[in-house]
Amino acid sequence: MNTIVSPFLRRGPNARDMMTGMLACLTVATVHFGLRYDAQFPARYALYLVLASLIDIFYVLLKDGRLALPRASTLVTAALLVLSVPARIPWWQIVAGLLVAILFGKRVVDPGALRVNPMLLGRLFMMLVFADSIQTWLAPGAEIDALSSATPLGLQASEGVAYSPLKIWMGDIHGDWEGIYAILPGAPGEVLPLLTLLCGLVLYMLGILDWRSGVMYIAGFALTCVALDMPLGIHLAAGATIFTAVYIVTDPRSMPGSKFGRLAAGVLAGALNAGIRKHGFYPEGVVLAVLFVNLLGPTLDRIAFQGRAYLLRRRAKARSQDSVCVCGMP
Amino acid sequence: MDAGINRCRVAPIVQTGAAVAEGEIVAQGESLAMHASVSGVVERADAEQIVIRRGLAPSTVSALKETSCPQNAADLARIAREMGLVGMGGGMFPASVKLGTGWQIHTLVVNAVECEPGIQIDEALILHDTDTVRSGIDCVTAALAIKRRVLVVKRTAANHIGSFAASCAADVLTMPNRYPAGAEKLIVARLDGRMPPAGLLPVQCGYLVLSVASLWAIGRWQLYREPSILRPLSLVTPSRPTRNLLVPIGTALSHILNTYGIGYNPEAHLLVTGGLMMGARATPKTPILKGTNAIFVQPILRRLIRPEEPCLLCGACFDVCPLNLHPIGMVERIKSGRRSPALATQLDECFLCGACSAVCPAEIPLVQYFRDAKRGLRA
Repeated sequence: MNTIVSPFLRRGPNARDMMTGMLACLTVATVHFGLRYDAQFPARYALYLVLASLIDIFYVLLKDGRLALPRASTLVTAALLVLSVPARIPWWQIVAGLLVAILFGKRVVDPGALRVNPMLLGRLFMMLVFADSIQTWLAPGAEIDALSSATPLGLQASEGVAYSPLKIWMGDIHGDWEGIYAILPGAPGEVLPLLTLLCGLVLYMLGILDWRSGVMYIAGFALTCVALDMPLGIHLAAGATIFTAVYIVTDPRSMPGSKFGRLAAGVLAGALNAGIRKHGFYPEGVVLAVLFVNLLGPTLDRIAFQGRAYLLRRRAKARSQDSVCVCGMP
Repeated sequence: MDAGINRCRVAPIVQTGAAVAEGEIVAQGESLAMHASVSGVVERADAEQIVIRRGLAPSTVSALKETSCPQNAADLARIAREMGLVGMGGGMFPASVKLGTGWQIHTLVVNAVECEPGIQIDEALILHDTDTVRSGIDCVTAALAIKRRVLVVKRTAANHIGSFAASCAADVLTMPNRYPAGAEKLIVARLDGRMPPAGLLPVQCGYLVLSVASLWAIGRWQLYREPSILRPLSLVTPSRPTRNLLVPIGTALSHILNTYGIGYNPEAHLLVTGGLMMGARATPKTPILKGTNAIFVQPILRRLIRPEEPCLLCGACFDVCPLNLHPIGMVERIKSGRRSPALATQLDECFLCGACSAVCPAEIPLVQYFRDAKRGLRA
């Protein structure tokens, strides 16, 4: 009772509302993927969320010796991870990724000064250890046959052939290319960029997401694409570009908090991502680009803090010099 | 009646058992006097409280007997001291100090913004006691030979208060409806085109910012020779429309609550004096002070009693800070004890509006950290 201190008003969402909003949007994406491409996926998604909760509960039980509800942010991390890897990846590989993301990314790294996106940490682990299966986009229900398969972005990377960006925006990804590659949707989270963008808009309106890093990510990405002479249309639509702008670079804990920091980190992540797509081994490059920017986060925040104080001091100095003649003691 | 007098650094000059009349000086300080707001017998008079039991007025009424209008700044400062005027917007800074600085003042800023949600007393004073407020404005303008008057209102009130500005030949400055638009610093920044640096008072830039309630009190002096013994305030309760009252200073809150039949349950309700943003928690025994511009009876929100969680770095505090400071950056540095010139500069700038605390999704009491740190820096 006596701990209530001013202000006595609260505005905007609290932490739990924020996580619930994110989870709701990610679940919408899951349902969409289930309806259009893989009817099994929503059930798998739900199962992985339960597994993630169990990992979280188990961790608290081991560490503090008590049973506690899993943190809502753990579920968001798990949902993001599941949505960013192939839908039919073996379940134990996902569990390994979840273990790394939740135990190392969230529980161990979280309280420290090192701020990295836990989901990306888990995915990085999967990329390194299960390099093969994380790049294999199997046709749902089908085994590998005469045809090889590729996502629109993979096709662009290997053959230099652009799939219609408009179709990708609408999530309409199927068919084959020259009878060699079956064209398949990518990770469940990235197959309908339009829906993702819409969800991002709603989350922004609800005060859950900040626009700065997402918008600047797209800007930095687009500019670098143009500068490096990459086809902009397909790169914006395909791969996880929009998914990253809405869900990954907006992750509050791992990105800088200050406005300047967010703008700078957004541009940097976008530029790096485009650069990795052009010259790197992975056709996508989100994980490496964003993780690198995460490491710069505290530094960017520090620069912003010092910079603001410097501007304030300079203003005070300028004012005290001319206020002598403007105001002046009578 | 009891009056919280310790905050204005005054000492009682009446003895226990003495009979006092309404308007009689009962305590005197360097920058202001305090007056009995009711007639009666003094029951207690010490450094903390003067308690007056209401009764008949004694025959020797020695209320203030000033006849002339204030002629110059020194005169106005003296009258402010004698009538016991403090900043009635809530700051309770003795007005005589502000008026007696000797700085050349070119603009009188009438602050009617009331950005704290729910408070509407300044608006009510302008609408219902127009002449008193106007005579207060005229009195200050004449005494200080002020060239320009500006009425500052919030956007929602601009339409129906605007005509008042025309009637006293004042310019209108409309501020957004967003808290803390009524802060002196932000108003002066809008008028001046640039933010005054920390530590520089608005009067030092030539702007005298007075709240409507303060000008109303000066008007009461001008028209009725009444010292500052009445407090206009808004009574805001969840179940009924807001009431605007005129209350003798020192009245206990319980008295007001009983008079208006407002149920107050300490378990379920929050009793707050001042605004919900910058005000303080009160008990039914709390007296009305000269700066109490509102009383709130609110149900206790669940979010208010939730414990502090680790920061999410969501950036909400950066977005709402009216001065573009780095609230969570400051808290991190305060918590870890990393003092730096940059931290000191930002802390100096902060005027503790509390907007960051109100939006924090992790319920971190940022403004309390700043308040404590500011005290620490000063000591």
